[in-house]
Amino acid sequence: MPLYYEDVETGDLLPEIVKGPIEEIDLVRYSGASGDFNPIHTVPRIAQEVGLDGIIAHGMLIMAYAGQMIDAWAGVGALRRFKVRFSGMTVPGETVVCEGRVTGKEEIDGEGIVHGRLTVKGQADGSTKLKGEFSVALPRREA
Amino acid sequence: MLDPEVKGKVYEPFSMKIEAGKVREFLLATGDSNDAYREPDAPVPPTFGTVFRFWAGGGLEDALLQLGVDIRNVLHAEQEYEYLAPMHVGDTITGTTRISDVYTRAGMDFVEFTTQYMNQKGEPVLNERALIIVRG
Repeated sequence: MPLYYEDVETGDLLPEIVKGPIEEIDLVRYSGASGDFNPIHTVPRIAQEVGLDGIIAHGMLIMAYAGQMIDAWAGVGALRRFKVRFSGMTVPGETVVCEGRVTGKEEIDGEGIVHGRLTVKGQADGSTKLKGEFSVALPRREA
Repeated sequence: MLDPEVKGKVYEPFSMKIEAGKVREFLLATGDSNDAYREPDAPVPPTFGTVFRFWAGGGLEDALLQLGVDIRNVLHAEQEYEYLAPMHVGDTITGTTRISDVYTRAGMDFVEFTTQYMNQKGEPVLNERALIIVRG
């Protein structure tokens, strides 16, 4: 059943999703799938040479997880805008939790637009991985 | 320090046809189990634009090299997408990237890449803004 514009209120929480633990092999797979072969995501020696403790996850992989939370809630294809700020690194072994909240809704050119904010945090230490905002277009009941 | 003159630089456009296998690979790599993406007429997932950037003509690594920056020394600060129309398997997407901003803050260089994507009909489908930090 689709989520309708009329059924969403400011302050509603999106069902959170949990992803992980993120393993080294996940970063290898994401490198291949995305084409982002920056070796700081897959080669520990190079990550250390540039001053990191070890390999780190692609920020875009964490953004993809956040997008899955929005898709599961609003439906595939609902996104109109999706912006994130990467605020912390994610390392192999970590599990992350995606959380979101509705911050407002408005009609724009007859479309029901819902705005929200989201956060992805490390499950173990609560560290913030990214913060973002999004807008989705939802179907109308009377349409 | 980056030359502030690079602001406004426009890169060569790049194109890529969306293949079903590439979309499936991306869904598997991101652990995306949403059944709606397995339907025949499904759109591509929200962050699939990163595939165009990296698989179609050099991607970010080449864009940074043209500025004299080694990709191993960058971090991704912000990413933004504006979705204008759905993209499907079989569409050919062409992206044009420009450097929309360059500045220095706290001793680090920030470079903002803005990319507009169109489909094979010339319709705008996606706007992208990526903010990159160059580490010391």
